[in-house]
Amino acid sequence: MALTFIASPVLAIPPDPDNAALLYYQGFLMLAQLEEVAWDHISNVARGKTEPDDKAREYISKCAGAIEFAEVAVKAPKCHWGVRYSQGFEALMPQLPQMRRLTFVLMVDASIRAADGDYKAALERCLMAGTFARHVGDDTLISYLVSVAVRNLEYTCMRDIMGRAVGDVELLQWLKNKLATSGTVDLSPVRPLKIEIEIVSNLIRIDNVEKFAWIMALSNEKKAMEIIKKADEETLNQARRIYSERMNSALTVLSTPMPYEQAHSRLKQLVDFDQDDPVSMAAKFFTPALDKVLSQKTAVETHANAIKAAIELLLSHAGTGHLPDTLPSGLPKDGFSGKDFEYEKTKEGFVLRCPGKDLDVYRYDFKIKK
Amino acid sequence: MSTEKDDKWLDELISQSIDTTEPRFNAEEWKKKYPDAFQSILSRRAKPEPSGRSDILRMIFVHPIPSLSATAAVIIVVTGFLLTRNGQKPNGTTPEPQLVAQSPAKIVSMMSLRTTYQQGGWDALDRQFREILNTLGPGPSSLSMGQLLQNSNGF
Repeated sequence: MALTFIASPVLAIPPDPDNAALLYYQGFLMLAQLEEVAWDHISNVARGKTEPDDKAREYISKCAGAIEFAEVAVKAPKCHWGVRYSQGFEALMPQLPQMRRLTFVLMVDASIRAADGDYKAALERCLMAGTFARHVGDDTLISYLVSVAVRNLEYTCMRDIMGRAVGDVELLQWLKNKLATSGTVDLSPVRPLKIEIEIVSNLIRIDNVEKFAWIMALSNEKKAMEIIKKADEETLNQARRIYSERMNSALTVLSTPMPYEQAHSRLKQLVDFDQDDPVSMAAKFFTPALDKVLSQKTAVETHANAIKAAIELLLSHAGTGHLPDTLPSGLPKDGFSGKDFEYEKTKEGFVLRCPGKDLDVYRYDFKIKK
Repeated sequence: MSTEKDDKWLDELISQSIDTTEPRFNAEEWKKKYPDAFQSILSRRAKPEPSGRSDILRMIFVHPIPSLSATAAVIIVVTGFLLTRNGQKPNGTTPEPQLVAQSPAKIVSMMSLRTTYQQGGWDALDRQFREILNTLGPGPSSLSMGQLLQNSNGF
């Protein structure tokens, strides 16, 4: 029996982590220590404002370890960042700016691959960022906003690469299938808002007045003591009630399918507090900018739809040798208006715009390689 | 490798590659970076007590000061909340908003990030991320395990 035990193939080496966050954290530590001007340059390349040059290549090569960890992390079955919810709003989240930086690195890597003509590898890097966005997740409202920003960068990068791969039907079809089957569950602000409601509801109570005061006073002891002296149960109950009513109404709006304008208008009303009532203003202190959150959500969904619509236009171009004169029917729509995108051929390719919105952030340019 | 002498060389090698100094809030730098906000706070000492209960709150939420950092803005909001609860401070004197030196680590708290987004949207949040990375790091080790151990006896 002893011999059987010794000979049994029990492995001494434990398996690699199945929690992607553990791998991402190691990746953050591997991001190169660069000057601010270098990170500015990386940011500009990632956003498509400038082409990758030798400097960008040098910076990204120094981040190879970080990219390697991210490549493994996106394949992990789960991602738990270990947010200390017990700390409520005092929970520290140093991983968030690192997530932003890692995203820039991945997008510059994608740009470099595209510049070298390897469009599929470049698009794979973009899709990897999409998985990273899902992992960034919605543990908190700020996490959700960062995940939205990661997705937007993914799509911005994709737009540039798609135009270069204009004649490659197989690649465009591959991308179309990947986007359709990626399993990207559209994250929603509903979950983090529910978490916030619970945090705030526990916080604005007389038996928790010290912590409440500490947060309102931004850790200034003298101010916190003054708040504690002046707060009473009735006032705190009123503030909590106002906050809860507004936030639960917001959850209903965000969970109910309705036109963007209608939802935006309702949320804007919910964040409009009586400025002459200190109790209302205390509730406002804890209420996020719900209308802005909805705008961010709709913007990224619209960006995703613009990408999918553009793929169809590029496939049509590949088949006929030219872009259609008008937008074909049945394509994904603008999330703000619920209507088809405005489509216009340009000297360099084409543009899709959100009807009724004039800002550059609501237009999606696609430059086609000649 | 179990003697104190062996441990000491490793500590020195690690400290060369990792910044272990405690981050400190630099008030002078803050003043230089936000001169308008600082002057605004100082000038309050000379102004009469506000007649309306929520003048301070109204100032922040109706007429936001674009150059005011989110943290300073919230400090003023909190001061307003304290003062307007009962109209004035217990001793009846003019309130004096104070510049509060926060622990640098607090700028990565959920509340700080939320407040920044609330006040300035995504662009402001992005700027705070940069500030966090410049102020707090971390600075990754640029040495591999092999390099860390290269001076070790037996390697």
